[in-house]
Amino acid sequence: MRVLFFIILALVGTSRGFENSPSPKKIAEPGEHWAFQMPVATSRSLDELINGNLEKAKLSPSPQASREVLIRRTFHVLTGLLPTPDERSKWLADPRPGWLGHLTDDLLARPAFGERWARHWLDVARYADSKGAASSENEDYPYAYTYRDWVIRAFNQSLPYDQFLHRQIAADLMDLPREELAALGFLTVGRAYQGGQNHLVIGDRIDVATRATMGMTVACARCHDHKTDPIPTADYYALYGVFNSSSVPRELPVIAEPSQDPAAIAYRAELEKKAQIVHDHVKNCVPEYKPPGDYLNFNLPGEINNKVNQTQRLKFRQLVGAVTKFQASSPHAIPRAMIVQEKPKPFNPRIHERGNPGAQSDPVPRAFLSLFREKDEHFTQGSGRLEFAHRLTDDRNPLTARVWANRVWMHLTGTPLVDSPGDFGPQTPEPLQRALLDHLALFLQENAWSTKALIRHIVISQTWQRSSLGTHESDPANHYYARGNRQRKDLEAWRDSALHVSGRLSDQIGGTPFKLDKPPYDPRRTIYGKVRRGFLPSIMRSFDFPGSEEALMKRTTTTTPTQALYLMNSPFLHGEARAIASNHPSLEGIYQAVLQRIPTPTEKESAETWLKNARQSRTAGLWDYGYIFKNALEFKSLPHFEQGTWRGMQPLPDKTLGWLSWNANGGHSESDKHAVLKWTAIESGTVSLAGNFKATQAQGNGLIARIMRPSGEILGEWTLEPTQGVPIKVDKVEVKAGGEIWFVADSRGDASFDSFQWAPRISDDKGLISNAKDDFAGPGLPPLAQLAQALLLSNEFFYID
Amino acid sequence: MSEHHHFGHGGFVKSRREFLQRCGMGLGALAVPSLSGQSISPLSPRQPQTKGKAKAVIHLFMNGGPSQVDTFDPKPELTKYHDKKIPLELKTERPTGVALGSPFKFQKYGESGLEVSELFPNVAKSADDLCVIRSMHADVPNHEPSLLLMNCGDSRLSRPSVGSWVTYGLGTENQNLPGFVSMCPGGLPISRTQNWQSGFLPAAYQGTYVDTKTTDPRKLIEHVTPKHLPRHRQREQLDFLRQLNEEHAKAREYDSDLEARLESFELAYRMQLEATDAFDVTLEPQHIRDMYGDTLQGRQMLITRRLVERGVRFVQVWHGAGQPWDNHDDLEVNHRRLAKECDQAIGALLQDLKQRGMLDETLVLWGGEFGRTPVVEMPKEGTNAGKINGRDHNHYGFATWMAGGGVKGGHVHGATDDFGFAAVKDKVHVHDLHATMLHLLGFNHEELTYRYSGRDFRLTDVHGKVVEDLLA
Repeated sequence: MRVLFFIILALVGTSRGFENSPSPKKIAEPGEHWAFQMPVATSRSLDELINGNLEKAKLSPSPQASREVLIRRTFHVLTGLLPTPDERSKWLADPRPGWLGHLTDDLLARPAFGERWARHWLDVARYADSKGAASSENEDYPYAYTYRDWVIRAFNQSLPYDQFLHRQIAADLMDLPREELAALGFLTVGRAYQGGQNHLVIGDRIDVATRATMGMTVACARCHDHKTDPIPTADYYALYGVFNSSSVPRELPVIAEPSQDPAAIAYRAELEKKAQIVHDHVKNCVPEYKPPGDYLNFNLPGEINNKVNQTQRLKFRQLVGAVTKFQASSPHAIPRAMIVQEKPKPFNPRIHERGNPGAQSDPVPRAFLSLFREKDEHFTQGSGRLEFAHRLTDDRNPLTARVWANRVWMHLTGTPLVDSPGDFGPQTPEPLQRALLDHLALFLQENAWSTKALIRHIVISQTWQRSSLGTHESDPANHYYARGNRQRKDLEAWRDSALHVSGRLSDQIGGTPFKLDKPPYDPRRTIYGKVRRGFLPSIMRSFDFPGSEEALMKRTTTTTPTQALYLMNSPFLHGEARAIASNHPSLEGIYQAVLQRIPTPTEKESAETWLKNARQSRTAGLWDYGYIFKNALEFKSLPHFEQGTWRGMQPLPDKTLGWLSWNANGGHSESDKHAVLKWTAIESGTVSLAGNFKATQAQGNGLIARIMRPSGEILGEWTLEPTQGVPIKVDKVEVKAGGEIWFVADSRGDASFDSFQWAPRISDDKGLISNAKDDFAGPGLPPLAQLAQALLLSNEFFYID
Repeated sequence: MSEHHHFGHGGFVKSRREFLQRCGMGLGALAVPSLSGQSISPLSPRQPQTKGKAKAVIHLFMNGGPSQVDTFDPKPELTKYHDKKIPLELKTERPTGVALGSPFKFQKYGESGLEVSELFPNVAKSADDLCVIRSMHADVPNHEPSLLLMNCGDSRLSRPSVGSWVTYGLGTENQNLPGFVSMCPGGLPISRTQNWQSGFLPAAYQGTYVDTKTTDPRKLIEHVTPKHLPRHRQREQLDFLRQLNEEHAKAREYDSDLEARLESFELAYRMQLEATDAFDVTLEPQHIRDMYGDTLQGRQMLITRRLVERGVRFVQVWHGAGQPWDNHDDLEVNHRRLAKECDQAIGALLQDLKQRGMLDETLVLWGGEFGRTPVVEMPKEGTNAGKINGRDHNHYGFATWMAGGGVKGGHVHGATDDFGFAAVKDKVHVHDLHATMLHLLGFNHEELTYRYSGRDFRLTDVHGKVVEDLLA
């Protein structure tokens, strides 16, 4: 209705209807709290509102940021990605005065926009792909992804925000295509509770449906009247009636046609086979059991269920679990929606005294929060879920538009206008930028609840385009927005950007989740990573990813050494760094790819010096694996590493290098080439060398073990017959930093059966320096990849000015 | 998640906003160094409201629920009633029968004459440091809710764990190590990671799980060992990164966020060495290793001491994966085995802390999520395999002990009834235990709060009373 009203206003040509918008309606009880009054219209623009406050505070705003910075900033906030070098050049050269509006439109129309903004909403929706630590097996929600994909679609298709909420709460009660049922995942992807306590599940749904939308902490009134907010316990149970009048059916509805892809058909055949095993088991236990038409229906009729004994039931559950797991793990499972549906009869709630479901007290009718309704205005249609959804966005609700506008502002600028985005109750003081918040809330409603319109409105403002440079000592927290906020990339943004610059980022939209921490690392966007509630992989835990136990209205941003360890040592980032270095095998190329600029002369010089050093270490440790020609003193590296062994390029025996090889325990020598293990000292000092040398095979003519320096100086030599083993020890060996010790296995001229075990240890008076077995290492990160990694770790990459 | 931090009074920070204003920083910048360059990350050390005696906590969790009448609460009356019905009926989780006298002998130890059963001869050597609470009680006789009550102060809802509250309140002394470590060998206990969750507190306060079955110290913390570069080459890489970051910062006004991130790589580099060292018990002299014993428990107790010594704030040590102490049957055999596994190690830990002068400032807590019935559990399919020689869960009464950190030594607080079934005298609820622990750490449990979702939350919710009798 309100939307219509404003469309008419717009048609008659009043200036956006500001002057004619309804005067603020005061809610009588509890009086004066700002957020309970309707937003107040003003004739001033966004920038005028901000500038008015700046003037009052005598703050002068920073100038507009450079176009370079603005391009990067816009890409980041709208898509969570960086511009490609081509895009960057294109927008830098765009001659149109309104280039930023065009860029914004371009980005808002990309699928990457929905992928970025859906993740913001999934924080609020406490989205996860499993039930959490409280359920005995932390079972998966195999179809949670259909809700995640629905949210992405909703953002990309510009579903108006009011509709967006209505569908997530009551899609089943609206006349919509079946794929829209996935929206109901908003209610159902919550955590499980021990013993499956229904009243807590309902509490979770009430919380998400009120706090996420209206910033009202209704769930606080579960046990007693809200301590600070005008929410009596009766309100909680009025909503309890609404949400407890619906339930999740055992059989979730299919929302897409089965794929005719041969792999999908094969999958379904296999699934039916597995399901048949369950039905066969039941039939074995209870012969009169008649399997249902739908082979995935495992609901046993009461009289059959009663005849199944404990052991049989356990087996039954295991078999059903196997089917669910098979479905969950297959990308071919037919998509289903995690719906709720109306119970045959709506539930008439009673207050639970002190939140205890065992202590039922007065009955209450199903209704909206008493603060925003007439005394006897109750829900009348079934559960009242659809009525509830509409009440969130009707013209008597002062909160919903404000709460969303606050969030949109926060995601674009880095800070919210109301610092507690999940609590707009009386404890939250009127924000400094109240007038701006109201302006944004009304703008949203006047523009048919279009989130994209609101985003565009903010992005093209002067305020948003301000440089993040400039000190404003009287406002360090930047409440006045005299400058832009420097923003750090969150987990999704940095991981996706790393994949983007390495050229590996996949453009597949939607689908079943992948494991973020499992190699080979999937190049899909982070939003598609599996969220195992309570068991998040370290990459998610350390980078402030939400725990998904409850709606999260604002992420914390921490800076910890754990994050640094991940970035320094995780194979994921090494992989991206390698990919960057192989796609751009030059210093300049790597700078261009990662930081979208060429290195300064100083940077170039210091990078070159460093890389020269870095080239001296070929392996990831202090040992190198190679050989010397008989009677020669030139160490040559074994070129190839595979399955824990350094060797020639071809499987053993290599055409030129024969059986020559090294692994953690020893290796194999050749007739004209001796296997050499090379150790390089980092510091000067006195070391002792020890270990056992063993000629492992019975045939052949044995081996000579020799310890020497590159100069040819022999420090020790031992001759061994087949199968013989000797302890090898040399004490008090002086080494200089960078000096080498060679451990040589000489084949005595005949290489047949010359495999040996030898893993020397090097120690000094303080203890062990290195043990060749434990410190056995494959190839190190190539120098250019080390450079790429350093740039990926840099603040320049991680921060958006 | 963070809406407002609130530490109550005590000259500490009143709100997150004030905290930031005081430090002259922008919002969202909590985890950054201050202008002086001193780190004020969420884990940087802080003063409590008052001077607490305890600076660190070691929680030895005998998960599954050890039996009080077989360990620290001798009941001669129960022995008299052995095999007979006791004149006391309490509803138990499973069917129970006649009295089951303890098969273990008790003996007096130390100057205090504290009574300890033969299961814990080594722990008993520190009898004069133990403060035994014989009147503990909880809410329900089930593992999951009782674990959550003991660890998080609420048996149903998702609340921060004690370790998270403590690190939130005090930070941690060593920025190169996690502030809150939870060690459990071989897998996870029941209720798993919920036991050390940070709930609505920032994730930085969550416990870091370590599987102490792993013996290679380099594998105990994820990503702590570089496998792609020799360490000196990584140092050079980080030096280059540092240059890059310094140039970047130079082109901008001072921004503590940028500096914090630059610093975090240095911290991480040091952590690689220090964390590996902290977990490497082979660096201990042989006589110390012998004292703890060359066993899994010996290793994890020794690691515990090394961690606390290095400034880790809260260490939780679980006996093992699942619920090892849950002896519904063969109690005698199993309790003997379990106690044998950990007695030497716990005894050594207490003595070692004492000989290093660390015990005064380290609060050690020993116990399970509840205790066990003095009466025998009757057979029920699927639970005790038809044996009639074990005990059921018991939340009506159980025993725990504390040591060090400002508690009375050689002291017994409270009592159960004659049979050791229910706490009857000077009862201590789990909330009271938490209130007392926080008191020992220098916090008024009613004032260590966190504003979340429109309300100030605290560990003890609306409950809890400091048990004055436990304080030295």
